[in-house]
Amino acid sequence: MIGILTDVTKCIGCHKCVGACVDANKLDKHIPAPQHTSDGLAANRWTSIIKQPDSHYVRKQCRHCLEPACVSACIVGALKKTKSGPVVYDKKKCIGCRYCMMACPYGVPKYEWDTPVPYVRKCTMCYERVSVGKQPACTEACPTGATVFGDRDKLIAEAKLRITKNPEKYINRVFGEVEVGGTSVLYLSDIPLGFLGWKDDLGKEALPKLTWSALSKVPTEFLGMGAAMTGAFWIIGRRNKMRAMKVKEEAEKKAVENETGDAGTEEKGEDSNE
Amino acid sequence: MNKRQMVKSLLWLLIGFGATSGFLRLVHGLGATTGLSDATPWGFWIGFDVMAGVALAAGGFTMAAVVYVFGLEQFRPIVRPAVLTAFLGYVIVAIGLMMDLGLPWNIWHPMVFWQYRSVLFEVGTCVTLYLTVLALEVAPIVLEHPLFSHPIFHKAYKILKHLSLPLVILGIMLSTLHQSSLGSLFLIMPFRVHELWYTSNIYILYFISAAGLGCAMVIFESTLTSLIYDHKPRQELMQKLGKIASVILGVYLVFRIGDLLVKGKLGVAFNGTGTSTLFIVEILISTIIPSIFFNWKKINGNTKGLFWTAAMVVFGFIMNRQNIFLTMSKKGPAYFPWVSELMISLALVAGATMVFIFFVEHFDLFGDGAPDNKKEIGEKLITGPFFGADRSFVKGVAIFTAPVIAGVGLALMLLPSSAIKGYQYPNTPVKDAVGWDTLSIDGNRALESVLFPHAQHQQMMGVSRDSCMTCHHMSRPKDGPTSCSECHQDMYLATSIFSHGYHQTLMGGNKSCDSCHVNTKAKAEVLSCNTAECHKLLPSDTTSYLADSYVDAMHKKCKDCHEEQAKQADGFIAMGEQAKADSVKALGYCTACHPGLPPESKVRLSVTR
Repeated sequence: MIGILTDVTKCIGCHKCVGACVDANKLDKHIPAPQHTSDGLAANRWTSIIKQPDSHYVRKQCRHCLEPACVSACIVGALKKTKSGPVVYDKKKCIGCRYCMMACPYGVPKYEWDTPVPYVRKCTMCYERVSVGKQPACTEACPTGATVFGDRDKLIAEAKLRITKNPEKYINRVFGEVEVGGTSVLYLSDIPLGFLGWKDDLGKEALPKLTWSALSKVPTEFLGMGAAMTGAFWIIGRRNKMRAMKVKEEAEKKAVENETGDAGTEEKGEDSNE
Repeated sequence: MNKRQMVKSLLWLLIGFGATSGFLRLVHGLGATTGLSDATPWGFWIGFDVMAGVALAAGGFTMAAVVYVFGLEQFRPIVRPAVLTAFLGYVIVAIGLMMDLGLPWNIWHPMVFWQYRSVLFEVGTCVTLYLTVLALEVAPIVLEHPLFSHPIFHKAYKILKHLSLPLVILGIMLSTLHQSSLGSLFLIMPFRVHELWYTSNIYILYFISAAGLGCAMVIFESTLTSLIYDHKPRQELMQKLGKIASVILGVYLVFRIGDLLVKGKLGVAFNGTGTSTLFIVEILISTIIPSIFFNWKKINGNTKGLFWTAAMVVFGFIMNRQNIFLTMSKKGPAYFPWVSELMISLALVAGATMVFIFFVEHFDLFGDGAPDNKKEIGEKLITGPFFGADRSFVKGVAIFTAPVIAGVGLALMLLPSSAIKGYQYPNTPVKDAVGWDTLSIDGNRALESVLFPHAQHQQMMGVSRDSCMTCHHMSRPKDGPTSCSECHQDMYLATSIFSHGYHQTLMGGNKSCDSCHVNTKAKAEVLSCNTAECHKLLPSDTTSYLADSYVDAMHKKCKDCHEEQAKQADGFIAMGEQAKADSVKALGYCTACHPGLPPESKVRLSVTR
C-alpha cells in the first residue's frame, strides 16, 4: 500500500508540486471562476497550496482514503480504490451525478463545469506513473522534501520518528493515520489541519459504514413491507368478508332495515385498523 | 378565453420558457446555465425535482395502500388521479435528473454497472422499477379509451386488471425503499448536513413524511382539479383523508423531535440563529399547524380550509427537503438557483399538469372504468377538448403556439448571457494598482500576488503595438492573458545551462567536435556529459545538464546562509550593536531578496520554525 507524507513544516510554498501536477496530467493552466473554491482545488488543479498564517503552506490533494466515501457513493463504480492505494476514476462509466463530490469528507472531487460533456476530476496519485515504478509528479518535484512518496506503513513510521525526534515542533499526531478509517495521504504538521476537511475532527469511523448500516437493512425492509402488506390485505379482506357474512346473517335474522347503519360502523372499525 | 384556456396558456408559456432553458442547458453545459459550482454540486434540481418530487408523488402508493390493502373502498374514486399524479411526478423526477446529470446519455449505466453499496444505486433502481410499475398501473386508464378497442388491447387490459393487486403491493414495497433511501443519501455526509437535519435514522423520517405528504398532496391536487373543472369537491372524503394525514404527521413529529431529544440536540433548535428559525418555521408549517387544522372543524369543514392546509403541508415538506441543502456547510461562494434552473423545474411541473389535464379531458380518470362514467370524456384525442373543443386541431394548436413563443422569447430575455452564449471564461483578475503603474497580480490565484511594473515591462519590450500584443493576446484560447511564466520560464521550469560555445572554445575549436559528437553523421547524437573525462558526477540521462529552476537554485544556494546570518542578530544585540543586529536580521526576511513583496510577507525565514 503506497502513500504520500507531507510535512507542513518543511513546505516553502513554492508551488512546484502544483506545476508538476499540471504538467504531468496535462491540465488546463487556467482556472475558470466557478471552480474556484476556497481550497484552490479545481477540475484542472488536483493539488493546491493553501496559505496559512505564519508562513505555513499546506498542500491539499486527494487523501486516497482506505475506505473512500466517494467510492461507496458512486452509483456505477466509476471511482475505484486500487489495491496499491490510489483511488482512480473511470470516466467511461461515470454518469455525472456528483454524489462523490457530496460524499467526500475533504471536498476533493471537482467537476468540469465549463463543458457540456463534463467529468469528475481529482488527484489519482499519478496512478499511471506509480504503476510503472515511478513516483508521483508532485513528490518528485518537491525541492525541500516536504512531500515524499513511499510505502504507507514506512511513511507512518518515518512520521512517528520525526515526531519523537522533535516533539516540540510537531502536533503529536500523524494526520490521516486513523482519520475516517485511515488515508493513504498523510500529514505531519505544527498547525491544526481541520481546514482541509469539513471539520477539525472527522472521527475514526469510515464513512461508508454509516451508509451501510441503513443500506444493509434494505432487503429486510423490502420483504418485510411486502409481507406486511400482503398480510394486511389478507387479514382485512377476510375480516371484511366475515363481517359481511355476519351482516347478512343478522339481516336475515332481523328485518332488512339497518343496512346503512351497519355500513357506518363498518367504516369506523376499519379506520381504527390503520 | 375561459378559465381552462387561461390555465393552459399559462402552462404553455412556462413550457416554452423551460424548454428553451433545457435546450441551452444541454448545449452549453451546467456551468453556463446553472448556479451550481464545486462548492454546491447539488442544487435546486436535486432538492426540488428529485427529493421533493419523489416525496410529492407519494400519494400514489399511500392511496393504493389505503384502498387496495386496507380496503377503505370509499377512497377508490381518488386512487386513479393519485396514481396518475405519482406517475407524472416520477416522470418529472426522471427528466429533472437527466437535466442535472452531467452525462445524461449515460443514465442507463446503473442498470449495467451495479454498485450495490451506493445508496444512490438503490434509489435509482427502485425509482426505475417503480416508474415501470406506475406505468402499468396507469395503462388501464389509457386502454379504456375507445381508441384502443382492438382485442389485443382488451386482452392486455384484462391482464393488467388481474395484476393490479400484486402491482400495488410491489409498488408499496419499492416506494418504501426509495422514499426512505432518499434520506439515507445524506448518511454519508455527517459533517456537511446540519445537526438539526442529520440523524442516523433519517430514512425513517423520510418514509413517514412521504406517507403523510402523499395524503396531503392528494387533497391538494383533487381540490384543485375540482376547482378548475367546477366539479363538486369530495368534501367528506377529503376531510377523512386529512385526518389520516394528521395522524401520520403526528407520528413524524414525535420521531423528529424524539430523535433530537435523544441526541440532546433539541436546544440547537431554539438557540435563536437563522438556522434554528428555519427549523422551527419548517416544523410549524409542515407538521404542527396542519395536523391541528386537519382536525379543527372550523377549518376542515370547508373546501378552502382543507385546500390551504394541504398546500401548507406540501410547501412545508418542499421546504424540508430544501433546508437540508440550504443549511449544509460548504466552502466557496453561496448558491442561489438561476432562472434557468427554476424555469426548467417549473416547466416540468407545467408539463405534468398539462398531461394530467389531458387525462382529465380524455380519459375516465375519476371513475373506475365503469360504463356510466364514460359519457363526459373526449373521445377524439386530437380534436377533442384538450386543444379547444369545437375547433379544428390546427386552430387549437395555433392558439397555444402564441404562449409557447412568448415563453421562448421571455427565456431569451431573462436568462443570463452565459446561458445563451455558452460558458464565459473570466479574465485574469487584476488587483488594485499599487502606486502609479505597478499592478498586483495574483497569477496562479493562490492568493499570493506579485508586483508587476507595467511601464518597466513596456520599456523593455519596446513601445509599439506589437510589443503590447506579446502579452495582451486577445486571441488566445479562452481570452486569457499571457502568463508571466511564458517569459519568466526560469521561475519554475528547469533551465538548460549548457553553453555550446564555451565548450567549443575549451576543447579547441572545430576540430574537437568528434570528442562529443561521436557519430558525425547524426549531429544530434552526443555523448552524455558524464562519460569519459568530463563530468563524472552528473546523472547519466542528461546530455546537457538541466539546472534546478531559478527559485530552487537561489533558495538552495542563498537561503541557508541568510538564515545563519539572521540567527546572529541576537548575538549582536547582546553585544549592544543594534544597527548591526538590524541589518543581519533583515537578511532573514523574504524581502531581503524580493523587495517587491507586500509587507505581510515580511516573516523571518528561519527562526519561526
